Amino acid sequence: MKTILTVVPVQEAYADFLHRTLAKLSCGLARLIYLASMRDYNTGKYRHDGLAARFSAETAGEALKLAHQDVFRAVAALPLDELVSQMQIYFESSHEAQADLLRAWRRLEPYRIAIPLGVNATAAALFISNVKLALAILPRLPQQVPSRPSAASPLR
Amino acid sequence: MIPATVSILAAALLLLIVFRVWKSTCLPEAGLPYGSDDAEESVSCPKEIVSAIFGSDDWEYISKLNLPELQAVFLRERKSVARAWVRATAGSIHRIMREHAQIARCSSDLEISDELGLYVRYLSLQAACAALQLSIGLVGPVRVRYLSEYVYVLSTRLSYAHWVMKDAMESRELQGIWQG
Repeated sequence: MKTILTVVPVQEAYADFLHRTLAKLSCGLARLIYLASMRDYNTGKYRHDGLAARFSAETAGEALKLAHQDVFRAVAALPLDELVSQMQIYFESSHEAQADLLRAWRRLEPYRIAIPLGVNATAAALFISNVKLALAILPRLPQQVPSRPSAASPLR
Repeated sequence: MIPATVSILAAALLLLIVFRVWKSTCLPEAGLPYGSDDAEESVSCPKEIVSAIFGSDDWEYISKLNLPELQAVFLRERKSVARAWVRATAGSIHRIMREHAQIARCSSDLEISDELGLYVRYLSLQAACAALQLSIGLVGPVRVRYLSEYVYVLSTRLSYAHWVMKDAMESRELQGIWQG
């Protein structure tokens, strides 16, 4: 009984966050980076004041953790062409020069901290490898306006 | 009639190739961010990740770009991830069998046929993992998709069989405690 009482609010918080916040972001990669930014670097705990106010800090933290893992799993399994396209959309949404962003991503590798804790090691390795490849592909592509991926699922 | 020296040279060359491929599969993994944590290794690899590693879609996309240096980078990266998966799978089934052997040693109520079946599955899986490692090194991950699917299915079954037998053994032991 206790388990049901704890799981249901987490599911509610998860659904709430998915539709109020994540669905508004442009693509899976943007959602992944956003979710990783909700996590404290030192403790690994997630914080979102709005969600914590509606539920509780613990429930909000659990919901964000689940969302982070789900979004990561979807992004890690993306075909390379879609990841390149999402990276293009994400970079354009930042309003910075693409060349600067590419350079920073190659040198600082910020995508490494986008990986949630407790994910499969091979999935993490594939994600890192695919991001490296996408960073190599992107400057070689002809400049074009990328088509926005479908907003059907906020997880992709 | 092939002279003996030619045969010996051919055999030595073959051994050298096999050794080089084997050695390349044993290199420490660079870029595995969470590879050594036991808790994380217990999280099984999702099927869609295995399909993405060994699928042909990404290779077709890279080929269409027609950039040889990018193709080489892709092959290197994908081989590395594929090998990491095979290593993790082989390690995982080895751990399962070790745990199973420990439980079986303490059990007074062993089903020999079940144990034998599990051990045969384990041996065939280890052989398939070794073949997969060699094949990835020789022909790349895209061409060994079917073998990777075979290893994935068999390792999932072995893991499932282990948990079922473990549960059965534990419940039999508990019954024995209650009755005795």
